[in-house]
Amino acid sequence: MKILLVASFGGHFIQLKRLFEQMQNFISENVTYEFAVTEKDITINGAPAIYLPNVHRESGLKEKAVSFYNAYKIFKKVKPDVVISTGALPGLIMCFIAKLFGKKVIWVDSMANYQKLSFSGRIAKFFCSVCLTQWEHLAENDKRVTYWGKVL
Amino acid sequence: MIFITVGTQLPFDRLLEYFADWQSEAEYKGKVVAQVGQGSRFSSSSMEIYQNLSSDEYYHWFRQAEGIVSHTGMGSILSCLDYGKRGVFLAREYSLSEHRNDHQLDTTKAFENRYPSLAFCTQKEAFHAALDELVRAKDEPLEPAQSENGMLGCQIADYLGLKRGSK
Repeated sequence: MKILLVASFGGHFIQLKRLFEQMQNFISENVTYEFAVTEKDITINGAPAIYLPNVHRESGLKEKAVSFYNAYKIFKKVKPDVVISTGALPGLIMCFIAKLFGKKVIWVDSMANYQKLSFSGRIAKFFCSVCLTQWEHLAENDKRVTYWGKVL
Repeated sequence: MIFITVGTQLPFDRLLEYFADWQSEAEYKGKVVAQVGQGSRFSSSSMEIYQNLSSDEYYHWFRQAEGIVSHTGMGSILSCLDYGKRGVFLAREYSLSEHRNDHQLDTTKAFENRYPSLAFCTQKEAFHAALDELVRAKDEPLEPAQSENGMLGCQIADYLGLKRGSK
């Protein structure tokens, strides 16, 4: 099984690395991980991450279209069975591409969002296989949102 | 040395101005290194200023610092816990065009009073008081942060049908 872990550089990426560490006990011969991050020259335990160009909500339509193409190229190259993202918009786009190709997609909303899901999370919950919040109360009244714990 | 960071995205000059006011009022003479973000207009002769830092440069200063001063971003919060640093945080506000929304005020609510070593502020006065405390307490040992049990990673692995195994 190949798992692609995607995040924007900064807090999203730090949460992704923590999640990866939590999953270390489950690394066996038949599981491989790849990272994609919105910053160049990043390595995780010595392995280089794939560079995914950044995009924001305020970016122009053309930039957004290009970001779908960038995500598609990486998706085709990595051929993951599962995509996991801790945000933000570039991760959401990668999740969307993976979903189009019938892959399992897990969204982990950032711990920063304590009162409501992030903008990306509120979209992710409609198509991801699992949409996770890291705050219990945000999963209480929404069937599409699940709480399984935190990256703490 | 105090290390100031405003994260990877936007400048946050209000934090730097509040800090500079404190620095002169409290007559803080220690070294200050500040990562101020692209587009920042802040300048000061009593700080070493960088617009942006690579990950390696960031942690070079982070590790050395006796205290961290930051916007209320998850990266800084988690890094303080990872490296056992005291932190003083100021939330960016949407109404002041400091971010795209008010999630840093949410983060403040989520984390205030959760860790004794981390102070979450929204006002200048509280921010200054937290800086006073940061300097006062700098030599006191920090309790290691309680880590939860990695339940999130386990649940995701279970969901994916991964077998527990060694590397």
